Amino acid sequence: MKSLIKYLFILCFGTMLQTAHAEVTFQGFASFVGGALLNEDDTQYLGYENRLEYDKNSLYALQASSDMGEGLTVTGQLIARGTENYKPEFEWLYVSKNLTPTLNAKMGRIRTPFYMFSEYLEVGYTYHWIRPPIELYASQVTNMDGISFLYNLPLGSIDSQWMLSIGNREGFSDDDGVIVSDYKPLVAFNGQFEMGAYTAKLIYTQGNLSVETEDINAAIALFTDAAFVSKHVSIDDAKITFTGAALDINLHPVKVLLEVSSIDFEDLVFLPDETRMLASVAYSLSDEFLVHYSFSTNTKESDSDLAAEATGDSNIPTVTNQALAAQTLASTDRDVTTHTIGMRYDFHNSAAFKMEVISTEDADIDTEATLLRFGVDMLF
Amino acid sequence: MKVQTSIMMCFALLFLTTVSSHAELAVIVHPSNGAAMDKDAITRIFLGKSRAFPGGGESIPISFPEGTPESDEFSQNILGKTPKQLKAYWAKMIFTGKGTPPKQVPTAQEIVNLIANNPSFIGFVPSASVSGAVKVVGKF
Repeated sequence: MKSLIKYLFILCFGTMLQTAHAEVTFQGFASFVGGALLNEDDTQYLGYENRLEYDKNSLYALQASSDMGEGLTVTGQLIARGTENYKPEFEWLYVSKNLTPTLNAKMGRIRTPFYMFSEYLEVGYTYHWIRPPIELYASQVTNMDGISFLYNLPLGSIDSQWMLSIGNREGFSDDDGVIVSDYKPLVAFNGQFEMGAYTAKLIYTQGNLSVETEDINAAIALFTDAAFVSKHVSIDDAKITFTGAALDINLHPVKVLLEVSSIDFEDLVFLPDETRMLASVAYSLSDEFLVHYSFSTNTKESDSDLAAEATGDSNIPTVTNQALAAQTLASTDRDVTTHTIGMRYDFHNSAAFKMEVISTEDADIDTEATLLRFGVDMLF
Repeated sequence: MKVQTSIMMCFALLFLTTVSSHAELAVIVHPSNGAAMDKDAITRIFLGKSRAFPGGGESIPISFPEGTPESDEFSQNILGKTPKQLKAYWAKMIFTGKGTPPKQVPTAQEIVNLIANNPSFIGFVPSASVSGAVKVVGKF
């Protein structure tokens, strides 16, 4: 909390000093969410267990933007997340310049666009869920340091918007046992098309991923086939591709979202290819009250043929290495299906109360969980 | 006869009330601005999708404050969004760095004065507030 005050002070004071030259605008958003699993066992889902907790999806964010005139702005966004003990971090920090009336460039720490909502993933007020279903909206990487271009191009009655971002993200994971977690580089290209009630988005992102963890190193030590290890076991500058498509239909009072995403890794035993799907429908019963239902899936399918590429030596025979590879590959498979049902009540002009029940099961590892969560999303 | 008059007066009153709650809005620009504007072009400027008038030249939209009848009506009838959808729209734009909402000006008189003095501005006011110092590009 102390450090939050310190950061806010720096943010406020720093921008106050600039007021002589530029107009500074402060805006913010916050979510306060509580939830618990309704299961009796020690299952976990989205970090929740079978006791009520309030920090998993709670956050407080403050954005300060200074308009320097002539299309030049500087923006900083601080987010304090419950999962990080509300230690504030600069999620965003960039300078933005309108190069032409339709072309904008940004440089600094920018958001990574992997999905339809990923750029405002944490601004809960803007959508109906407490958080979009994790089966599709799963990403440890929310920002990167680099440059991005945004181009608006009307195509007849369609408003199209094109975005190209190039950057690096070093050390994206703070998890225990993670030694290296980098995307260098990450290149994202997407197009969004808006026509009346319909918005479609096409997404392509490509990155070079390096991950080193204690678990991966322990596994590497078990293989004696150095060529197999460097090609398929260690994750060092491995190419990864995200492709996605989304369609959002907003025919008040009905809203529909369909989104698919696929993630392809270069043949790796620890990272199977993923297929993600989300279908959601929301119905507004009145100006204040909305109900919704979502169906989401996440399938991770390893390439079992990879195991055959492992060879052995005089100490550890081929068959042992192949069995180890096959076991590692199979352990990464997942087949998750989730149903979410929820409500949103706009009790204030800038705040909404939400409640949802999420029922999830993984047919591959035979687990299931039911999560009840509730909370308030607000803008200020 | 008396009853008839009362009924007519009631209807007249009802009609007047309906009219006043849907006051016609005029979209106005500086008199020197020659841009031909349709609803799509106006919408693009007010939603921050374009920063220029169709014929060129920087465009800066100004609006009544959020929650005022003028702002709500403009949002609903011209932008095609409920005030709540508009609020969520701007939250997305602000927190993705894609744009900022129009500057808010509290009275029609101030909006007319600002536009009369700056060729980049575009705004909307109730038709009755339009003066010769500005040019009307559309009435809705």
